[in-house]
Amino acid sequence: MPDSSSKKFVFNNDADGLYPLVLAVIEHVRQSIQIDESTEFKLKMILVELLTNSLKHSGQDKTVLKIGTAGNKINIRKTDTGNGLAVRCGENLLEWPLPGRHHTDEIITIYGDSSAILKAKLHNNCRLRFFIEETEETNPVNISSLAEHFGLMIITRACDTFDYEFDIDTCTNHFTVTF
Amino acid sequence: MILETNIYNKALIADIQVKEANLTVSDNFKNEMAALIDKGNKYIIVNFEKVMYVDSSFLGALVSSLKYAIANKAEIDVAGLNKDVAGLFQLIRLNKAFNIHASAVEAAINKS
Repeated sequence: MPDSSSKKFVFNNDADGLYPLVLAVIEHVRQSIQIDESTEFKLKMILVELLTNSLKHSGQDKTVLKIGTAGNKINIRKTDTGNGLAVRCGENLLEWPLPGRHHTDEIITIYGDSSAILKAKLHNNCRLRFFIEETEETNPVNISSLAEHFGLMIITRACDTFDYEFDIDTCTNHFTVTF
Repeated sequence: MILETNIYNKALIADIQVKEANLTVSDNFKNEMAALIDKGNKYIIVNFEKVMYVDSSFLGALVSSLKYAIANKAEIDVAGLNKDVAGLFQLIRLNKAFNIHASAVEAAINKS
């Protein structure tokens, strides 16, 4: 997406600074492009979860957000130098970068419940794209099967594309969201 | 304390006292909810009226509390969700797992 406007924000990974930063980013986007209520809602949810993910997992003191806007599209790129993505798939803990090189088009299941399963399609051992596979809903909902992890699910549901990439050269994590 | 409670009819209304229902308070929330269930409360209304936003950690704690409640033959409803919080429940289909009420008092009256 060609950036007609791009701005960098730094999050110092402190919980108190999270929501004010979310509001600052939304204000920046509002000044750059016209957004409706639904887009603003999605933007807010995505930002809260991306930054919460940093608080929980990055292990570093700084996260950089780059916000790009073009036309009616928004691009968010979150970068940190903390721990690589780690996902428990059944008995196995997958940690990025994945060992080996032959993972193209492999699908992994991250978590799910009776209404949806969060999955990811691997591009290679460093890059993946999250997606959701809806399942047939049971009525009433099976409470005992409900997932208790929602962060990646929220982001994936709220955007058009959600990618993760681990840069081996710089040991940097990149999460990229477009919508 | 994250929760302030009061009894209304047959319901226990648990008012969340923080504006930011996030990972910094989710463990305490979960523990306080477990304590309320352990005390034998059978119908708890979690009131989000003062809450500005919730994150996934807090929602995880809420779902965990719901599972604990069901295991103990208790019920949890939610009330007072602002537009964003209600939208988030809908986004991840939690509106199908919880009864959502406009206000805690309304929920308590409807229950009696």
